[in-house]
Amino acid sequence: MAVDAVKRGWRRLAGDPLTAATTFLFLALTAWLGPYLVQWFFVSAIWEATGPDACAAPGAGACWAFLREKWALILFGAFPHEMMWRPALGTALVILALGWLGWRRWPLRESAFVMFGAFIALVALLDGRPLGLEQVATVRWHGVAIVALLGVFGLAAGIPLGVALAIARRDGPPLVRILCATLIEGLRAIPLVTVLFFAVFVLPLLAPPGRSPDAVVATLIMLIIFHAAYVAEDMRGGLRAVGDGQRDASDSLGLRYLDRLRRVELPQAVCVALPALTNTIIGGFKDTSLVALVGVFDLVATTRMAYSDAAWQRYALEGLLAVGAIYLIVCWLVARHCRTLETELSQWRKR
Amino acid sequence: MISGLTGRGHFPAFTDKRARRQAVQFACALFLALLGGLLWFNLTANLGAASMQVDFGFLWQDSGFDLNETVIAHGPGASYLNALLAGFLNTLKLTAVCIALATFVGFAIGFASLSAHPILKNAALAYVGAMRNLPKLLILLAVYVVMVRELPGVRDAWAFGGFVFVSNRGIEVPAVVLAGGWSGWAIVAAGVIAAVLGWRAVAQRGHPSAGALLAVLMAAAAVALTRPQLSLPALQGFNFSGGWTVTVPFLALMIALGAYHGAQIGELVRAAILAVPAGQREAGSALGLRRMAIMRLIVVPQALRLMVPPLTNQYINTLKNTSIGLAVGYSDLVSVMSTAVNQTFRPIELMIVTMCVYLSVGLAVSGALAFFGSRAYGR
Repeated sequence: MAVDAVKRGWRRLAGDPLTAATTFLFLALTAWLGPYLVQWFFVSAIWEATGPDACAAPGAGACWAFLREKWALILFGAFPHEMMWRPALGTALVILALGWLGWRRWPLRESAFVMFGAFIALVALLDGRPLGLEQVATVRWHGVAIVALLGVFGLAAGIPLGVALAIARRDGPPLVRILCATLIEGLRAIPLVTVLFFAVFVLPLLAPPGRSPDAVVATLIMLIIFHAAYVAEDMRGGLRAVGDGQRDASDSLGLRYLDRLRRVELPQAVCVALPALTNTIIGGFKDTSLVALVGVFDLVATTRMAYSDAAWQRYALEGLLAVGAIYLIVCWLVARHCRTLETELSQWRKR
Repeated sequence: MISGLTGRGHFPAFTDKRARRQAVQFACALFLALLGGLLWFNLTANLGAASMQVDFGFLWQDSGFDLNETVIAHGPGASYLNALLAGFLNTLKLTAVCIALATFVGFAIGFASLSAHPILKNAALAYVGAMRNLPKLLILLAVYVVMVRELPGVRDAWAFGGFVFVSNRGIEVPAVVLAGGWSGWAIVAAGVIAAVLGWRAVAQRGHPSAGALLAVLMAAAAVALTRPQLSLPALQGFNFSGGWTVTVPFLALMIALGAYHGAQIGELVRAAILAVPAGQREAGSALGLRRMAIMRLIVVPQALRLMVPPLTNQYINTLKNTSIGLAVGYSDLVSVMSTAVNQTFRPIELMIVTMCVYLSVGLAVSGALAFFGSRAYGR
């Protein structure tokens, strides 16, 4: 048995000259880069330092001391230092809410209530006034709190809006259909960065005089509409795949329009659209980082703030790697959860 | 409908489906008109407070800022319109390079992820996974800070053979300079096209040597007209003169977007190849074809056909994503727009222009795809 396995492994790694050459190439690459990376990452990395000078020593590897020094700035930005527990607690509540709902498999009404509650809790904790705490202006809402607010709730509100847009585009009267199609296709054709510029520069001009929304609120509004356009496009494909037979069957059962949508068409459409929706959700969450380009301080922007400190400028990569690790973990969890849902739904559909 | 006819005394909008739709439509139109009116009222009030109005006239005024690394020259004396055009051409330039790179990376990754070699396959899949789960802005910044940190200063530039220099200003490579600048390149392009067409026309009539002679003559004429000269980069003081510079922001964007979209294209190449029915492959091996031949002659041609729509989508995404050039100071359309907004405070006009540009390019590409698709596949 063991001999067979070795034989099979040998054939797969060195069965013919081309395969053997590929294996050799990878081995050579590992032998060349591996020790250097391990050296940089662990062995000669500086974990603790009183200042940036220790990292500048010759032969020093990664400067993790940069993260030790700046972790609060990266995670919470310029949010008042002694009140850091507020964004931390708010973000933790949002993560808890998402975990709970994911575990409960997103029951419709409960999801709406819990997400709305988490939103209120986060905003109340950040602002402070509703809880009788000291007010912190939105310009100082930075870091993870912004990722939770814009990344999570931009999508949480964008998904139902997108579903509504997709339904209105299919079933609405001609004028509504044309309007929805124009909105969806128009938003999908322009870069998110221009949409965010629109939020920060044009939206205040369209608001009633003296009541212009600040940058965080404006970007949240435009992110919701932007995500909705992409979700609507995914759902359009899903709704189309359900087919007319389901509608006719529901009609013959005497189901009313809303019941038909809710109980017959949407559940099946979501099943079909789930892979595309997963991509939209992960892409949308990642693209929240683009708000850094219009002066809203998300994690990427706070990291830039941290390494714009001249003394630590050379250790920017370490900060970016840490933020990258956060995104990697979150997006991987989301993707895994969506795959679980997909398999469960496909089993449910087969029955 | 029936209840309306039998006269139960309901208002038709509640019972008659068609009347209800019309009522919804009317309400929607009314709502939009009101919303539009409200927004317009707010806009005029807000702009009026700053004694401004929506006016595109400023586009012809002097911009007062410089742009470097542009396809067409732009100095402080050139208009805002010229700045936007220069930015747009920069966007197109970056997009073209990124698309070429991403397509290459994508096909390599796509084939690697389907390979039977376990290490190669898993390395490709890990690469796709990492790129799928990281924001592109983060990748761009990481590439950029590494380049800024690791590349030497101009005076200590890494020299390759004395005519390629790599420094923290970018890569300096030899350039061909033509008399007449852009018109020179236009003459060369026209010459090449005329030579190829002429060669084919003459060769098809059975005179291949005459065709070759004609092509050589055309090339000679183009050279004589444009007098090409090789310009080599050389260190002068604190800077390089001559040659052609590819700046660090451009390189960072090229690498980051090439890697990012390369992974996405790799994913769709893989999906398209897997979507070709297994029977095709089996039929190929039943004919005695080798693995490579099956791929090249049977699987890939069919996969290409499946690939075209998602690939076009990715290309449009690449165009849109070049807008993150703003983060590293590359003068693309969005970054020029942002500079202009900060100078003039005319966000509405500038946003309209920018969005229209992206919209029209996107629509043109999708239109071309529809045309190409219907012609190539007859569906």
